[in-house]
Amino acid sequence: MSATEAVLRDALAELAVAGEILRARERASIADSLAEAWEQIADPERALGGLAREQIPATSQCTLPMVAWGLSSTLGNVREELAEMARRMQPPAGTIASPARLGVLILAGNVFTACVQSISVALLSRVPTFVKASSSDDTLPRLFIEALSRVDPELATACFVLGMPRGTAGLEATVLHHAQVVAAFGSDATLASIRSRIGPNTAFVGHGHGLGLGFVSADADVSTAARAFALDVAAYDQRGCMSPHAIACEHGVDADGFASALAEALAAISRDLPRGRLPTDVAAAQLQWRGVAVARGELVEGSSFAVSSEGSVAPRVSPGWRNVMVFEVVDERAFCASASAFGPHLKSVGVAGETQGIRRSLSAGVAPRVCHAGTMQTPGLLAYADGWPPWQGWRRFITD
Amino acid sequence: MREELKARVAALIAKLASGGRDDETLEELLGDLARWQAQRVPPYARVVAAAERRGSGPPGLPTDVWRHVRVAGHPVSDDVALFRTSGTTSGLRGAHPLRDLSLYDLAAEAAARYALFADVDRMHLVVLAPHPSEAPDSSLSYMLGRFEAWFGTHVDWVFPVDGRLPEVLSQATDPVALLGTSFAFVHAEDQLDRTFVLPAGSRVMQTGGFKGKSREVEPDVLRAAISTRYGVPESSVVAEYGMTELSSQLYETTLRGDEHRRLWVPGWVRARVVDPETLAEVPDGERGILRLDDAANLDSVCAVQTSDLAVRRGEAIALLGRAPGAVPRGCSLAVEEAIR
Repeated sequence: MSATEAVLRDALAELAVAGEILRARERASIADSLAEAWEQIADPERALGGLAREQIPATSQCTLPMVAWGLSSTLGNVREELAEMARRMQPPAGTIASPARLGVLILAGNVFTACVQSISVALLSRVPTFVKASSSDDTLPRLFIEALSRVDPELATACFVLGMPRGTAGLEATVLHHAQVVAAFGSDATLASIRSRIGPNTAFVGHGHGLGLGFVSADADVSTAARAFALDVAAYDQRGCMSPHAIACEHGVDADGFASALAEALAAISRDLPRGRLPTDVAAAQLQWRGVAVARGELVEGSSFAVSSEGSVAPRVSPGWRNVMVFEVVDERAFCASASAFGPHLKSVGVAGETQGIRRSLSAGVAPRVCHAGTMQTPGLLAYADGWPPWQGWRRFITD
Repeated sequence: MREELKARVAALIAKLASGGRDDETLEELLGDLARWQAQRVPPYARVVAAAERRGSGPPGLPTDVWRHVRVAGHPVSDDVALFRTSGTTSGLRGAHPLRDLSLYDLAAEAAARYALFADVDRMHLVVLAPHPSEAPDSSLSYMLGRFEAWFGTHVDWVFPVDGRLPEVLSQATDPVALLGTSFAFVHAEDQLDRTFVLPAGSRVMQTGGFKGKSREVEPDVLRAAISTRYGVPESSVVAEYGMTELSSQLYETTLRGDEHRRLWVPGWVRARVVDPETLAEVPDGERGILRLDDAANLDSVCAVQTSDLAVRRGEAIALLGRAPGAVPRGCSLAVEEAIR
């Protein structure tokens, strides 16, 4: 379906009707239907699961094994997670939920499974939602609506997915004008543009540019850490906002040794989860990034990855697509100081070792997810983003 | 060795200043330069050694390297100039230390004479860029400052663009060469509320992209706007391609009758369009990234690997813009913005 004023008008009218129905629904029943729909996609034996595996590689630029991994790691416990989410989203005592009349969700195209949490949250909030997906990567949301239509046609009418190409800001404005809550993923420039076009009373939750960093503590086992971080780097070809770009080795860890172990682990994981085809622009950026690594450090290159070891320098942002830097720090505090320099862009810190010290040492204003190495790209549906719970902005209450 | 190489470079520039190529001599010279520089410039030595381990030839030194480490075969105390990039969105500025500006001068004068001032000895220059005294680390300002000596009858420096520009242009009775950055011309478009008809024979040179700037304008659109604004034919609006990391410049040659928008590669520069993954040269007409080997880069590194997308068209190059790199895809990083 292409984006036209008429299509949008019809969609908004349908969503308005669906909103009435949605607000009367029990949250637990919504969670059940959502889970059933997502499970249809998770299961490769079912028709929509097969379609997902057929179509998503082309639109996401990920290989089929990577797509299969992304679907299974995101949707593996979807029923339990959605039930728990529904429970946590109950209104606080003494309040009555007052869902927004219309939500708008603007998705990005970097990690194809990112829509699972955000669409689920929107519907569990009982907010009829217009989902604007990238026109080049709207496959999973479309398949989800198809699945939901089969499982719970009534609920499916409360979510409208439209792939909109660039240059449709006018149409976007039509939708934004009606929204009471807008959640957007995208570049900082995109978020600023959206924010400038919404009304003063519209709740806005923006998830802008981000990256992850890693930390290997002195008492970590280097081989285990390398294998864990290799998964974090390989997942979604390091294109996620939580993907590690640089991994710090605490004093006492042989950084060059860790870099070699990481390269070996990346080579191994590439056999099971091959990288997607490198776009030309990324290849150009990769060439520059690797050049700097060689010029001031050591670089181990594989056919589809590279690991640099650059000594005691500040972490450097990678072009992604499995190019990761290893650097040295004195201790946790030094790591946190350099990590905190990324400010709100720091979305995730993977730790080989204890996470508590890192959590305590990060600067004020920085709120990444701090997790164990190997889990950076599998945050689960209940995970906070940018320090906010996933339902931030989506829940509203009438109080005394 | 340095003096011998320098003399060979100077001789080649002198020989090819009025066009033409001697690729055999250039190849030999670039090879000797690269080997000599690999012995003297530590980051380049590392890059060359890594390439040798992979079994490939001397690569170009990526421009990002110039932002992170010093690229020079001489100590800081021998620098006579340190040109810095205008800055990308990262705020990290590349630096090109120069021990000697004589080859830079030779190359810059020869190329500008060929592409911009072939039909005139000297003319009135109007410069929309900072004066060298205000921007001592800008290679563009340095070059335009030298233009004053080489090509100018007199020069008006109008930067930032303000009310002086219409005053200067409206009083011009002789042909004018209006020289500036693309962004300065965009700014002028925003400022000016009138058009001009510059005297016949006037010309415009615009250079540079929009790195770190808040506005971008497509080259064709800007060229048309300049042509209309200043009353010069589009063929008299010439793009210059220069980089802080280079000592030589590439120009469009529409003033010499070239009907196509493409960059003339001076005979002392080798331009290759390469595949960004394999670094192999791509065939004519195919898209790749531009590698330039500039023989006038004596005391740094002559082989420079850019991120500029380009296609080769015979002996000329057509630029397609800068490869944006790991473009922000969705909520993923904007490579540069994240470390601002």
